[in-house]
Amino acid sequence: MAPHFLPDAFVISISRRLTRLKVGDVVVANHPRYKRIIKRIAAIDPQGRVQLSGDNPASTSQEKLGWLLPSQIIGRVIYQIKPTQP
Amino acid sequence: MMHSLLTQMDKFLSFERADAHCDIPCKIYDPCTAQVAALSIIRLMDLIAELDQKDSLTLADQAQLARLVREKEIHAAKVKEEVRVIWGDYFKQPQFDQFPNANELVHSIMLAGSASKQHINREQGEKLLALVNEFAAMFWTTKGITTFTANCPYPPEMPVVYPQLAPVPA
Repeated sequence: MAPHFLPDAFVISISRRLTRLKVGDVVVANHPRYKRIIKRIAAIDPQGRVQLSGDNPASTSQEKLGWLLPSQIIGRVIYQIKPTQP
Repeated sequence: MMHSLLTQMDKFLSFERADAHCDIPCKIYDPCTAQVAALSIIRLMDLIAELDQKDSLTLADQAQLARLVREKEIHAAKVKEEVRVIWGDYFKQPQFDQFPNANELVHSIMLAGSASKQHINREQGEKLLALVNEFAAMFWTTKGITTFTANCPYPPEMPVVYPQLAPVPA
């Protein structure tokens, strides 16, 4: 998710149950294969299923990530505390 | 300061971790994987040429040929992928300012990679290696690291650009 989200950054997220998700939101999700990941919402289908993508061109592809159920989205990221520059 | 505080808190609260899951950890870039793949292509072409010396190919030879061609295909794709990732992720404006011909070089690597897939003649493989070496030299120079060229100590024993790294004191 570089350069927007940096390695070792802390993020604060609000539970999915307490917020509406929309395209462009950064979310923390529980992926069946990749486990807990942070990605951006690329699309939401009429059933509320979510397609994720990484900001970085080297990210795992959308095809590999697939569509996630709403229940697999943990929360929407609302704040990032970036590491201090060395 | 906030980050330092959270880092300390993390040690005993163990905040949950989320992976952004890039293909490789950010900041690890090394053209050696592309160089080794290019060397492999030349080696595979040499092995194919050895089969070409035979009057006729047994079934076992044909099976071997199929494997050699397949591996050549895979390694040419690997050269293109490894170079693409460094060019796409590592190269930013400062690197393009330093090397205005970088895009042209990367494109020529893509073309040479395809040619190495389509053909079995060694010249295509040698051309690809030369371009990948030029890319490697460019990459290390952008990091302020000088390079030297040496023959790799294994077949096909071709010139390879290596970074001149400072040894760690024993």
